[in-house]
Amino acid sequence: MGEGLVEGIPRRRGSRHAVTTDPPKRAPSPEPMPPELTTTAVPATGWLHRYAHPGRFLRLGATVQPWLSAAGLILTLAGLGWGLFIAPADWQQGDAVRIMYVHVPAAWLASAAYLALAACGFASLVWRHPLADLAAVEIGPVGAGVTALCLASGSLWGRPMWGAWWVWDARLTSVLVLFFLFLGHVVLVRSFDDPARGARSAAILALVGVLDLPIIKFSVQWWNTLHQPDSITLTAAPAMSLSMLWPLLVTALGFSFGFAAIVVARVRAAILEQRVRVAMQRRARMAER
Amino acid sequence: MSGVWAYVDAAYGLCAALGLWLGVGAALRLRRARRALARIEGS
Amino acid sequence: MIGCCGAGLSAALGLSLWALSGNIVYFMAPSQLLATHPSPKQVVRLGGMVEAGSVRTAEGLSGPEASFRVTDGQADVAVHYDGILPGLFREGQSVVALGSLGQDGRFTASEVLAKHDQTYMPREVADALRRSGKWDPRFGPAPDPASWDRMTAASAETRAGTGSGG
Repeated sequence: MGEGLVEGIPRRRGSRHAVTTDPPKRAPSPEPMPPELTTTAVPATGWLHRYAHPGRFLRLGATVQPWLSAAGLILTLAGLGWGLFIAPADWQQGDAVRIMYVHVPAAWLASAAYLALAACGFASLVWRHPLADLAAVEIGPVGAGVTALCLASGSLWGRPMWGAWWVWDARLTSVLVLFFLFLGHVVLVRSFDDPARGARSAAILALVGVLDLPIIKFSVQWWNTLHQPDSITLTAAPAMSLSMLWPLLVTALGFSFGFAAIVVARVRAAILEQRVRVAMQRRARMAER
Repeated sequence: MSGVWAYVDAAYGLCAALGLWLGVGAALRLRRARRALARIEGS
Repeated sequence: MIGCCGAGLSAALGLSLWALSGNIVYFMAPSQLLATHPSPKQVVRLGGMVEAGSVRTAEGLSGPEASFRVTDGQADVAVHYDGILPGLFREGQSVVALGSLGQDGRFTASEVLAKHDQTYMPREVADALRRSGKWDPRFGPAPDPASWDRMTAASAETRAGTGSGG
């Protein structure tokens, strides 16, 4: 604490958060910002930055949000209903296999969410992108929730099938580490007075933590684990009846759309909240004069 | 093996609870932010 | 705040290090167990397939007792367990037993976990495969998924019906 932090504030504020925290003399404007007001201080390095700019993101987000939400809701409900009521019971697990339709999509999504978090960390460190920082802050808690669902549903599955709520094998431990990585990111990104320092530290954590993803993926092949190997791989036919595979894929698609919808909504809200803060500060300054 | 339904129901219940919490939470937060911005810019 | 996240980070790091050091190999196969031959005081995990025809269950004084042999194809170990076996326990199933290897070469388990394989299929399909002689779950994993993954519960029923009729 102390000196390093104080030293960090003025240096970073100027360069990094110019776009989101500090629109200097911008006239109050309704939500879809006129383009000439939103393009200030955006590094012009390609299409990614064009769409990753907060003002553009607000408009793009408002367009895709209803579609993402609808797709997420419909596919998730269809997939879970299919899994719960229509899909057959398993030959050895009976009806307990239905937990798979929650557990496996949650597990896939947890890894994908962490990958997204790490991508945001990369964009933040390399391009100093303000939207990447915002997105990382919002992906963290959602990813932690999805990982928690994966762990909890796995526990509920393990108890009746394996005979244990929890075992310390490589697969379960590495997913628990993923959960702690999400939690660590959530806490770290919010624990600095200067948001830029928090974003930077959290981005480094997110990138280092990517090492856990291959460990999760290959743990069931590299080591003896109680957890069974993956049924669905990119290299072989799934060791699963198609009558169970379809609802699983539909649910996984639904979870992904739902996750995207939630993250887009949270990032939009975060951008708007930032604008509110800026407007309040400006109003306070005007009141002082 | 009839006892497994309790575990299945618990897993689906957790899933529904998490989905509702995150989904409704995000929607409410977005609405609150939009209203706050409209209020501050309207006045 | 920083202390808090430091604690979280070190917890994650500690967990991974600990996992990498001792527990990463969750169990030993019978041939590994016999090769290392741990002392009878050492608690280890033994993992492998329950040998077909080896399971004996009895009602002991203190509750159910079971003895069975666990094999990895190269070696096998006799296991004795006082307690209730998990629902998935069966011949040909993979199990993980926690316990110790006695002087007499018998493994006394205090806990038995069932490790189900990654094959998911409807009961009717499994029955159809069994009836057709393509697969006996007591002796090994299911055949190539391409030969059964399109079968539904209903089609397996009809196939089994025509099979037995013709």
